Amino acid sequence: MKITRYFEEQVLRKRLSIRREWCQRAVRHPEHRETQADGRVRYWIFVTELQKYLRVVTLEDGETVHNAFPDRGFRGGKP
Amino acid sequence: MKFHYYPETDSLYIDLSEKPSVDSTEVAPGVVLDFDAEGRLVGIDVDRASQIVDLSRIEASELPVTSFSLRKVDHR
Repeated sequence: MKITRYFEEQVLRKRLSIRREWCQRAVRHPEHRETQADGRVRYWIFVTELQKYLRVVTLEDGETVHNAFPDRGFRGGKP
Repeated sequence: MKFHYYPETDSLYIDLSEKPSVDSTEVAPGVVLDFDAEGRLVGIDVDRASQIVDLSRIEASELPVTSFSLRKVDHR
């Protein structure tokens, strides 16, 4: 899995509950996917261990994981 | 408080506390707040930071600061 320096040094450091394999799964098998206005891509999966949705953001290539967090505001793609 | 900036992705993380985050919420496009297990704010994650924050200057007033450091990293 390709990752950014920010993901390695800040996201994984601060959000200790996040596992790399969940991020990889989100990118490969997302429940929901959106392309941001800036070209970066958001993916969501529901993580049973967290009992929350996880949002994973990649760079514009759609595969380099840049950010991830348990997204308390996500409602399964519905507004 | 610590500021971590990554110019290659224009990403800023502001550590308000050393505590880890257990929950997060996006409060504005590209701005995510991190909370600890007690619901206290522990960090701010800012994407495309240069479009949101003036990164060229830091000002403080009456902060009880005892140490201050600036570090420039050469990634070549």
